[in-house]
Amino acid sequence: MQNQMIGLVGNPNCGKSTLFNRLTGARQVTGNWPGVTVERKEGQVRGKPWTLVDLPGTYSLESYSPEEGVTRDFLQKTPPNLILNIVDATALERNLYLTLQLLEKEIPVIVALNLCDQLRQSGGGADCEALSQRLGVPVIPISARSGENVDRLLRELEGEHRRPHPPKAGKTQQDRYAVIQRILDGAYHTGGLREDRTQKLDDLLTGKYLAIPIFLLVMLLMFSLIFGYPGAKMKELAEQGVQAVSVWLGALLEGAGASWWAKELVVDGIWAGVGGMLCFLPQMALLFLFLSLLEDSGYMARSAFVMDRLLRKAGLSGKAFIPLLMGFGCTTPAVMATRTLERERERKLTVLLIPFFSCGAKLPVYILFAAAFFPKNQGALIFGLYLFGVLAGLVWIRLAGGAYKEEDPPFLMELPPYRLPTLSGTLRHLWDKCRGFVAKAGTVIVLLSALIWLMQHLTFSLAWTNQTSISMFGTIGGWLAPLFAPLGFGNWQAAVSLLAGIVAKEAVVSSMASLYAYQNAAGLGAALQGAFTQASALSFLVFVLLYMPCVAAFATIRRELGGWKPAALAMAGQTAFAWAAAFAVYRAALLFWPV
Amino acid sequence: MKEWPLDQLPLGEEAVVLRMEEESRLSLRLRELGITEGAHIRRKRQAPLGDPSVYMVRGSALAIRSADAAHILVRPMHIPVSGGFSGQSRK
Repeated sequence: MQNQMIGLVGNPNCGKSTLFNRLTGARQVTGNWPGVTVERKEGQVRGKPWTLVDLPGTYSLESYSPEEGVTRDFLQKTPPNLILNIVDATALERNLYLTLQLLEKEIPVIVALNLCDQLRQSGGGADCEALSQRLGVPVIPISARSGENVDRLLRELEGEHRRPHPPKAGKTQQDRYAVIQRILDGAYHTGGLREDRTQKLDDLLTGKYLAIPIFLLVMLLMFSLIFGYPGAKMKELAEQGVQAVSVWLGALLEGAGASWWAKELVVDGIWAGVGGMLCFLPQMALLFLFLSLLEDSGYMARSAFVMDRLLRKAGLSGKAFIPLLMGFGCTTPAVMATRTLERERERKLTVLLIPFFSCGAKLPVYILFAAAFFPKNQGALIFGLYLFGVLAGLVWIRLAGGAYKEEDPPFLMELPPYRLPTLSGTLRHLWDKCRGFVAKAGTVIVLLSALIWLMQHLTFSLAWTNQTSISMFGTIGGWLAPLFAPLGFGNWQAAVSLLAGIVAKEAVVSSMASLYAYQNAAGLGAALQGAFTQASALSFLVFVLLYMPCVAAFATIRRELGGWKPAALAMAGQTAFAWAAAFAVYRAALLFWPV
Repeated sequence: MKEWPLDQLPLGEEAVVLRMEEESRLSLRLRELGITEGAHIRRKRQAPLGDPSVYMVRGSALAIRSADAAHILVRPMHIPVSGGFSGQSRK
């Protein structure tokens, strides 16, 4: 068999990725399937001239989610030379439904009966010879996780392949299941022990009283590891590393006799952009690690089952809860976490909603303004802002959700048995995700950061400047200021600070500090009291809370919404919505605190 | 024999699937996953907030929302003593 293409097809949660990794090792290429945000993976089988295409997990070739459509279209339009159909031996009856459909495709099929070790452990068994005879194709018992019998599978792949002669089956689902029962009769029995273990864990993790506290505890643990000390410490180390490189780079350029502007462009423009992205990486890696463990262990499905009811009114399902909660930490990883949502529309709505979950970098702005304008009610004000953000987001996805016409299939979820994640699988997943983040989001972050840096240091007559007020940035701030006048803060400093917030929300406070020319927080507070009233301060906070997220978040949102246009529209829409909300708040506040 | 909507099946109870009340994208998917006429289905567990529930069918566990399960009509294998459509949980 030379230069063959093999399609790897199977149900979700049947160990398909594990087998893919085992067969291909490091020789993998990832990308996206055209038109949908579904990951495409292919790789070369170890030591063989065969390309293995990992098709999205599917239960059937008829009804479809975008993922299932990908698998169906692939088999129809670019039929592979061979289908490697992996089936879960512990849920064989259901898995064979897809197998029967594949056998009708007139493409040679080899069935890999995965999780055979688990079937045996739970007291079940399968007679592969009988199954092979009845299905009319080779059936190889394997364990993708331990590697058991994978050599035999490789030998089988190498042999001659005939078109299958599928067992005669009617076209209705009931007919197919009747055929499956005849195929399995006497050749397969399940144990029951495995179900016991899953049952015991489920009694605890999805039980009436403990399910929600345990879920919140897991979230708290995840949150505090990623955004608390460990994540923050790793970020700090990364920042120190980036700083060290930038000093070294500066010295290097200076030594080489580069002009001062070239040095600034490289060090403060480009490297600062790259470094800013690298500083995100440790927290991203932690998030991906957690998500991978939650998903592979089977807990992710449980948490979705437990939280589903809360999110249903928003048109989402329980699976959206984790990405949304991550949004309180940082929008960028939260948007990346939406990859765990299978349903296209739900994923896009969640991406739209996440920026309304006030991210950690906005907190300093709230603290600064709360202390300066609402010293007696700081806590209540900040809590109120967080709550207001979530409520505004729910209104926003009601308004904007209509733009996403694709309809999701109704919510239905399999709860796979609990399984211990494998180290190699987890590491592989981590590596893939981090690489994807750097390659896809990273490029955009670097480009946008460099562009903004240039705008901060160039005037419109293209002269270098260190004065923000006369730079392109400051000039644009001056143009934008009248737009904010109806919100109560029509001064150019506020506009420039908001623009700087598009680079990173941390930059709002630091810009204000430099623009209002005060160094410490108390002094800045006093300066702000001169520029804002209580009503306009409140309106400014609402605007900061709701307007478009930073460039890093924008880059990931662009990736998940599938293009510049929908992402730019979403950002513009969100900013307009923020303006309207701040306007309403300002007008209402004027009733309480007239100027 | 009386038809019961699946979501009214007491917890732990097993039933035989009779038919789907209406044809939809979901009903097709449910049949593909094995909820066909004559299949055995057991309501295994209810989410802490009351909905959805997990049903065991053909060796796998499916979470189905009550509103969707209501369209699946079944015949309980052991008529519960208390009877009726109370939907009360019973281990």
